[in-house]
Amino acid sequence: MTRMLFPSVLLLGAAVMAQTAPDPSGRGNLPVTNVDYKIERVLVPSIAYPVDVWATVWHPTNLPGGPYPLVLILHGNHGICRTPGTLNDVCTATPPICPAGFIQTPQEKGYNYFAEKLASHGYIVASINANSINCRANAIPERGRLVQEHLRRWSQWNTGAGAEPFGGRFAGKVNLQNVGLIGHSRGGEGVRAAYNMNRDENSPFGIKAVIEISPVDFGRGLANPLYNVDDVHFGLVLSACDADVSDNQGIRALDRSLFLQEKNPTTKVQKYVWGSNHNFFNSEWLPESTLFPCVDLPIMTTRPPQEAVGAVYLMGMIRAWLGNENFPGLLTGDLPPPPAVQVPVDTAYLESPSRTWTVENFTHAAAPRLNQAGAVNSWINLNIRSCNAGNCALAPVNWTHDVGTFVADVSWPQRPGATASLTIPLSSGGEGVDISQYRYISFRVAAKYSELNPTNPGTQNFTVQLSTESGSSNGVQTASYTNIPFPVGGLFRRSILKTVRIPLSSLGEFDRTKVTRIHLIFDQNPTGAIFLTDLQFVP
Amino acid sequence: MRRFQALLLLGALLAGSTVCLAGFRNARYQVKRSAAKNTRTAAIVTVLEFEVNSEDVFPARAVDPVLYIGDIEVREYRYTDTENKTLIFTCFEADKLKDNAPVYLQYENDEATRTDLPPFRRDEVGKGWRR
Repeated sequence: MTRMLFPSVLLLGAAVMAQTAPDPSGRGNLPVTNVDYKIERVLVPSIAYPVDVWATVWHPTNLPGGPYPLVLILHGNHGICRTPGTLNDVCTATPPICPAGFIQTPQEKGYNYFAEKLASHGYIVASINANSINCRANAIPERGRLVQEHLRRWSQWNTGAGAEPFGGRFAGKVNLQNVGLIGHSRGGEGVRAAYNMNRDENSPFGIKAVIEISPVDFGRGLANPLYNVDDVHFGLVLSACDADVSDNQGIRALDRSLFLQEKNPTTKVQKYVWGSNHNFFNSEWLPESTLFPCVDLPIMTTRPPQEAVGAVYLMGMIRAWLGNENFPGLLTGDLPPPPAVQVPVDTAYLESPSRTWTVENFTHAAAPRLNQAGAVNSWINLNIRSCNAGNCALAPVNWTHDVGTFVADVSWPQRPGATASLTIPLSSGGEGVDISQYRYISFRVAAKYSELNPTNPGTQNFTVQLSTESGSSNGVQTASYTNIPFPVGGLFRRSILKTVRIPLSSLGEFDRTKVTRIHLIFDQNPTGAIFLTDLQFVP
Repeated sequence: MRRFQALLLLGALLAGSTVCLAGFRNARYQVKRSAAKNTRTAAIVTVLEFEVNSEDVFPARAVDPVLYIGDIEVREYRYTDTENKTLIFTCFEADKLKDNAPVYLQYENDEATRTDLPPFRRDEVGKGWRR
């Protein structure tokens, strides 16, 4: 595939600096070994049929030192029987049994492209084959139960006596209090289910990170439980050209996390990858459609660029959250991605609600007039209203965010008179507030599908400024930190909220102990239309 | 806004050949009365099974195929063989189905896959294929 550097990547790079975020997807120093386990026809609690407990494992050869963090990977729903020598996979009437002439689809091998490298950094990585659960309706809770069963097996293998098929091979080598779960597609909500089930059982395993690739969110809308991701680091990799989960519904799990206070503050990261499709994150899956009519950037038609994106972010999240490594600017999106990422990636990076101060998220019954502080917002030359769910965007534009997420629907058609602006007071009495404990002002924003906005590769842009009791800060432009692109997507464009994070230090000298108001001044483009929410001060 | 709508229409037309914009070809169904175990209550109950067949494959995807019969959503389904051109949907709410209710198959909210089928007729149960 030709290199797909999109102008907005260049724009962001030029605007910030030539520096890029470090690339965590390289190979580590440890040689690695691959071994499989498969225990057939196991009866697992709360699964109505027997399942195979089956995975392929990458681990440091001979396991020097340790114990190592454990990473479990779970694929999604896909055909379970393969015509040998092809990638043509189908379902059967009797999963996981395949008739003569077929082999079982090796779904678990589809993540080798990063699992092997991750192991070389000192991780035990087990990628699960869930063929027993595929080709059935829904089965999200069953996926969670299957992950739990794998964790129970690893607990046995970690004991001195060990257990079949490994005996004592992994005895004392697995840190079951430092576990990461990665799930793809239905596997995404499946690992989220596993995290919730583990928590409901008083957390016998220390699950520190839940990472989902193009996940479903059946819990919002179907009769499933609603699985959330509070008190755990959460990573979300979304495909802008997803022809399967075409509404990117997994984003709703991140939305919901913003309303849940945490005992142990964690971070939530969303990477919305332009051009990527649903299936190429598993190298055993054929793409759902290479002709899917992606807008503004073609769908990826070869695997290497998409697998490179997957390796960068999946390895980066695991190494940061389980390994406590630091990759400045990678997860926050404060720096452009490393060169391995050849397509634009829109980032939402959110600190725990327990650590941030949300000034305004437009959930007040009288929003947008009244804000979270009970103060009166004001605006000049703006059209503004609060909306959620289907009220935000009507067909043909798809609005995916969770029903609990409210945004301000803001537009500034060109009008004579004063520059359009929105002012958000920090207190109802007008007195200044001490924000010196915070380092950033952050908000989520997305361009609307509107002719008021510049089309890609242009960007929406406006000025952010703070007032204090005695004056005001400098104003800075959002485009200095990130772009706000025209909505992209597949068959339907989507407005996906991303974060703008502005260091308070960039606002110059001002009295941080007596800040009174946030000003958004729409002075950079003559017209515009955005969705705006989650204005926060962030440590 | 007209410019954007035209672009969208173009996208939809381009998609037609690849993402099943017009639904599954030559789809038909037949309905049979059967007995099944309710997966939630474990009780054996009388159900209606809708066998839906097409000359196209029903792929295994992240989102499920759903059979919509009036305001009833039938979500329990199974494959019958490795051709994957037939799905059997099990309706546990047979008593709630309304005569002449419109019927269509669609993968969740993926409207490109919507496949309209003949209306449900209670007196056609057990009488063979409807297309």
